[in-house]
Amino acid sequence: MSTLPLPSDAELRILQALWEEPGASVHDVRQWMCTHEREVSYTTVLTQLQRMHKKGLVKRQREGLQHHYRAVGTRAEVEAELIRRLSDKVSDGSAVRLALKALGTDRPSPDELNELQRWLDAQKEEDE
Amino acid sequence: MSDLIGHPLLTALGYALLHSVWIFGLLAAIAQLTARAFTDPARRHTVLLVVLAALPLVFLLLVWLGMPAASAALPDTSVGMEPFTLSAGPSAEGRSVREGWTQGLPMLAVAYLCGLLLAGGRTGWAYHRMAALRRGSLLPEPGRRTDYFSLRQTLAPGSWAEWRLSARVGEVLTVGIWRPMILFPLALVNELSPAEVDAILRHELAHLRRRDPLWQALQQYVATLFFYHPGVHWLCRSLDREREFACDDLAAGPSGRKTYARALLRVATYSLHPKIPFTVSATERSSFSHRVHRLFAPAAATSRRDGYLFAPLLSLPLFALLVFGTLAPPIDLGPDAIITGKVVDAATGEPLIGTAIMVKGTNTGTITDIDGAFRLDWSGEGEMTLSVNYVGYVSKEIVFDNVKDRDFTVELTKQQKEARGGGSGAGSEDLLFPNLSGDVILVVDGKVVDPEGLTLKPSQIEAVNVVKDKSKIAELGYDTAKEGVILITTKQQ
Repeated sequence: MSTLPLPSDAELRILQALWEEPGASVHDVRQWMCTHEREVSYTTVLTQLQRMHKKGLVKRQREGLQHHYRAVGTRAEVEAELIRRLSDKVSDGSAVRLALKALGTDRPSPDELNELQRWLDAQKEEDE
Repeated sequence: MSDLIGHPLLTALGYALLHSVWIFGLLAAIAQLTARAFTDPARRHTVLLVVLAALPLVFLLLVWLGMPAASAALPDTSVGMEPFTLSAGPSAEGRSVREGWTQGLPMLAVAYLCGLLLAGGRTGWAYHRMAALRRGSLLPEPGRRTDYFSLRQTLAPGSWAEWRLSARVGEVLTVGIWRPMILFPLALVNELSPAEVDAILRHELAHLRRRDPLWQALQQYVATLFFYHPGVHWLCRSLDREREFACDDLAAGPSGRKTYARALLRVATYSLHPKIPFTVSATERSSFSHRVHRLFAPAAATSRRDGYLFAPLLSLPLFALLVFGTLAPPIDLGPDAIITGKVVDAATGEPLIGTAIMVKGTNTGTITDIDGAFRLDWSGEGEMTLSVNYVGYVSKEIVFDNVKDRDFTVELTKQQKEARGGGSGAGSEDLLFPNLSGDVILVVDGKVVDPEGLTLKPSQIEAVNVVKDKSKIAELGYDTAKEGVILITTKQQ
């Protein structure tokens, strides 16, 4: 899947719906988006899916009057592609506090982390 | 223009700025000292936050006092007595000094407003970037989503915060003020065990329960307003720390301290992966270390509280070190011993590249470089055994009865080839097939056997035949759904 095109944010939302409900119709995708993401109109989803089909992100199958859509790449493949390509991560020690960081505002050095790991390993397994 | 500069509001602002320097400094110091009287980080956080929130009000009061109209309106103010002339008499000299000050104040105010514009712009930009993070995130898989919802229900009942995965963030974040969202780096979720993900989620949910996104926004607002004041930044740093401590306490209990600390460390290791340049020197400990150590400290030791009351902030890490040093094994400050050496072929003296050198019974080890040299940092006590392994050579074990720096050369001898087709060092040991997957059929002398429990001595085997071709498998009459067939013929006695 090296040629998998990188989905845009909106396309990613549709892909999520297709991963969870493979073979969904446009209506099903819209339903999923309305429950899990945000209100979207039927035509938006339809246009988006047609565009994604052209891009090679989804494949479709005709059954009667309906098209049933499936994602081309699996979730794991698309995730791997996203991780590989989006390198401009927001991870700065900026003093502006707008997001609560699990790590706090500190940037421990790798040596410090290694040392902590060793220290932690030396701690007794209590209360577990 | 001169009208604008002469505007009383600017003078008042300048007055407030000037006086805020010492008043805020004093308030910050009082807040810090009061906070230290509490052992509970949540209480300390509250004290600091209340003082921080009061600062804009104090500033407004100062502006009001600085208004010439206001001071004139005060009944006991003598004529022309500006509030900033503390002791200047009505002498000509005093008046001229006062005049100088009065003219300087509007300029100060203008400088502040320019600075405020920059600081505000910076905060605005950061906010914009954070808002952008909300887009393009993925929902976790349905199973995990359900787990998260039940966790949220118990830990932060009033919250509607979503949990999302994003390839754009490098660390675990909670973004947003009114509708917060917990963001996990996409790659991290798969690296952590479910228990560790749970521990980190508990931490973030503890923030939501305490309404930290809101408090943090307030904190940022005050910090932007008083960007020039070191005392305000001091308060903010303390607030950051206490907030994390409080959430650690809420999250570490149910998860288990060790799991929680491990999860924090894994997140830190992942987030600070090579790309970020490190300017912190290796010996300097950030308060992140303090945070992890703190999880293992006994609750509310009185000696520690006294320490908080009197120790200046800078000595906190040192003090933590002292406290933990008496209660727990000392923190390693580096390896106890550095073992270096070289691994060569006993016959030719050529270096053996890629030889594995392991400390027996541990996961510590290294491999030799292109010159056959290795270096192993070892921290530990008592006896240690180094095992040296290289494919095709006889493994060696070197026993040291004490730990100190060493440098030596290891000579490995080639394994003697056993009979025909031999060469595995197993010798007379039984041959086992522990790693054979279920997709392969194992046949011994024409009989299908179960790989588990089968023991065969290498010397018994006459021939081994592997068939992978589907048509061949069908020809032999075995199940073609399997990946292949291994046919073993034993020697007939």
